Amino acid sequence: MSEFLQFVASGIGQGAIYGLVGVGFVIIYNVTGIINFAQGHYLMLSALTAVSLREAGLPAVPALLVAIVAGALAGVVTDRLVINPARRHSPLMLIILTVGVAIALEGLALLIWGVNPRRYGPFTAGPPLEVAGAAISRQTLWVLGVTLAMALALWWFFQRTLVGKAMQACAMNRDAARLQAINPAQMSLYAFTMAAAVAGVAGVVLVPITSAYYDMGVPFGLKGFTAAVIGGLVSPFGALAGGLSLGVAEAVGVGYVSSAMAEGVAFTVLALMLVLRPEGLLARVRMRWA
Amino acid sequence: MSLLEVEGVTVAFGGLRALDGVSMKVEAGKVTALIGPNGAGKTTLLNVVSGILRPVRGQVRFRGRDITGWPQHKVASLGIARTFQDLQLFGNMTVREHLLVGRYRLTHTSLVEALLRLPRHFREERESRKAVDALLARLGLSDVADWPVNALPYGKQRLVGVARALALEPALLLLDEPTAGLSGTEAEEVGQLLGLLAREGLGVLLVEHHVGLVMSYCDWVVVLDHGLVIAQGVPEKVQSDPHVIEAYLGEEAA
Amino acid sequence: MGLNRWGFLAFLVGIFGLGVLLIPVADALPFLTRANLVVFALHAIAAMGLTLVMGFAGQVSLGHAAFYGVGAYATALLTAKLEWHPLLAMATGAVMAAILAALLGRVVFRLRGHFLAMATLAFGLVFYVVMRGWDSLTGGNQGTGGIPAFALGGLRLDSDTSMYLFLWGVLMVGIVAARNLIKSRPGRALVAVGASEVAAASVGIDVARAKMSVFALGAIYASVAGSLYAHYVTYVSPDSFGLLPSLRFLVISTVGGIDSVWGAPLGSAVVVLLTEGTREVVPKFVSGATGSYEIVAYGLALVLVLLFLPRGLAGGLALVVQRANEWLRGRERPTPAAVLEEVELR
Repeated sequence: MSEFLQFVASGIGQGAIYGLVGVGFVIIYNVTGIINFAQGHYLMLSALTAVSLREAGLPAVPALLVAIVAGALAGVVTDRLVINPARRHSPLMLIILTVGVAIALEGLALLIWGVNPRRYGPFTAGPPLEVAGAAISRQTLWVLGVTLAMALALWWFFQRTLVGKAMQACAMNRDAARLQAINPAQMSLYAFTMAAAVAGVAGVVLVPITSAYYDMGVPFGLKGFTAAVIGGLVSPFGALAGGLSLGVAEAVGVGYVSSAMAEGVAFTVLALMLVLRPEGLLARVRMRWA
Repeated sequence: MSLLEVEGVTVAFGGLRALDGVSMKVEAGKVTALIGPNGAGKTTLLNVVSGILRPVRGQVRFRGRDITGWPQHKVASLGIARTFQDLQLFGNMTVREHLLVGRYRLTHTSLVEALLRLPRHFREERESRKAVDALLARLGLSDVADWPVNALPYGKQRLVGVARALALEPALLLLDEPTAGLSGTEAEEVGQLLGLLAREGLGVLLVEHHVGLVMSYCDWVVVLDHGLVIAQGVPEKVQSDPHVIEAYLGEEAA
Repeated sequence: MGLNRWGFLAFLVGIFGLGVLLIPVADALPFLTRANLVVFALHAIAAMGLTLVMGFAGQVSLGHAAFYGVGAYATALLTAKLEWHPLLAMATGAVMAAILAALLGRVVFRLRGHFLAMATLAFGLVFYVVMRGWDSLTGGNQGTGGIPAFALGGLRLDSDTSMYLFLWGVLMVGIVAARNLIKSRPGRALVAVGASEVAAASVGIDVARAKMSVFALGAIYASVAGSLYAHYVTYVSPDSFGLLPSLRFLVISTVGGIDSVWGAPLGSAVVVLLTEGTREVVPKFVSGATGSYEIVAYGLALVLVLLFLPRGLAGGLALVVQRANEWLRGRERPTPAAVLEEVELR
């Protein structure tokens, strides 16, 4: 039992990250109908930017904030330069376009940062904390705290702000939203920006747990997508829950079987979800933001 | 035994009953019209017969054989062809290609035979092209045979939809508003064609709004309203049925 | 392109001749070597399979390199360790790839388009992980070697030139096969499925089966190319079949154009030039650049072509040829309406 708790403690940090990436998938999918292949690449961009800024001697807080903004900007660029001009293309073409954006971002990162993984230390130094017999690292607590804060911020945004409600209207019915003078193109821009910013936040809090490297976009994107699919692709909170469970499942897989299993766990879960329950585990919860 | 027998078919979308215990028949060699106000369930019935929708209750029999819930392609391979209200043509394929695709159930060339150009491919292509040419000529489409359908005017596109269905050499033809958007003369031509086809033994079931056409070319009329059959009979009788008049007046008023 | 049978054959022979003429001059041209010609032909054959999947079934696959890998590993293991005949090994690989594709297709084609992309991506990654992890069979990360050159009767493909000539011939056969398919019962059925599934089913086409069969066919193209690749390099390792190669095939197919049989060769040529071009140019600006940074060019090419030429380079070229033709003949383009009027007046 204590062994299992330890796996949970080491898995929830990663899991929260998957969840945050998954939130981005959910937001973009619901507002625009697109699965954005570049979602994990925003995380990569923010993480590596943060590393560089820290290495350049910038204090932690401004470094991380600038890095998050860099990620969000990549989202803006995706929407304005690629998605918006291609609005009339077929869904097949739109998917391939986001793949193009992802590849371009990855190549750019390779040119800027090279192939070596980089990292910085935890936000607060100190030994792991003991919780119910399991050791939990301080950075994991940071990740969980930030995730909780993001969840609350998202809830507030979608429930209490006009823009958030407009985006929800867009999610339910794009044509009807247009009739209410909601501009789908603008909502799409907001969705991409927000999704990229959330992924950026995930990227900068992740680095002390895992090194940042140029081709981390695909694995994190795919796992974020898995998290979102577990949640049925309709609810940011479903995606967060999905991410946490995926993270724990991975840690258990690594713990009980082998470290090579880690990748396998996510793909198996994704395969099972897609085959058995493509509508997600939370199928009854439709278009729920809170 | 009738060509097509629909018995007690019920279809529900959520709580809404689109069809409620519908029973009717289509005879070979007869043109049967399905009429009724918008939302009466006419297209839904065609969808049930052609295998797009599975009824929650009831039975569909073709030549006495129970085909309820069969997948669409199996229904078609029995010789039940249909057209669609929104045409559903194949984008930039030519008219001729549409008809060749329509002969899918009558030909058997496999992927391997086609790739390697084995004899069956050539034999079937020759036969199919001959049959398609004849059908094109009959429907007056020969002149536009090699046009991509999306370059044709709407009336011709509708005709291509019918031609594709006829290319199956069906025993039963289901038509969903074949004259919608056609001019008076064009609609008249479609009516004459249907009469001709029926005389050759084809069973036709059509959803139609064009009252003149129904009166002059249909042998039997079934009236649906809110998923229920409210009347059926020969056109003259149905025309004067008070239930029918009421259903249509209700629609006008609304 | 609207060529009739003889026009198509003449064009094919012309292109083949052009490809042969490239051999003596390849080493003198910028960004081109004989080895690159081989790579170009290999990728074109494999990508042609993906073109069929995307152009016909309207489905995107992000795991196409896995089928390339099935062929390569089948050839590697069967010819190097069991000393099978290369053709038999190649056929075995192709059958395995087709079965795998059909099984995968059965599962994933129930999914909506967006999910399919992710599912094929996951499939490709699983293949990569398995090939890396199954040490006893595949040699893991180190890979497996000792693959003999491809030999058939007196023919032995042990030089770049002979390999390229053979591949170029195989590619032409692949193009002819694809065109044969389009102009046939099963091919028209596939195009119909791509255009309207409900209408395709209404004439008796089993939509799910049609998609599965084109997926399997696409896998066979990839697998055959993979087998020949294994003979060419004599050694295979998982990295040749991971995500990057899958994405490369996607770029080749889309940039070339998914609704033309000429799309894959065209796209492959562009990708070879892009790859070599970036490898030559980038180090001049970025010191110490390492890794597969040509992906920047892939990504940009993909985005730019799709934004400005949604039907790919083949579609764009076809349009140019058509316009040039009209211009040469010096008459205005007949609009469909005008022609119809003519038809109806007659």
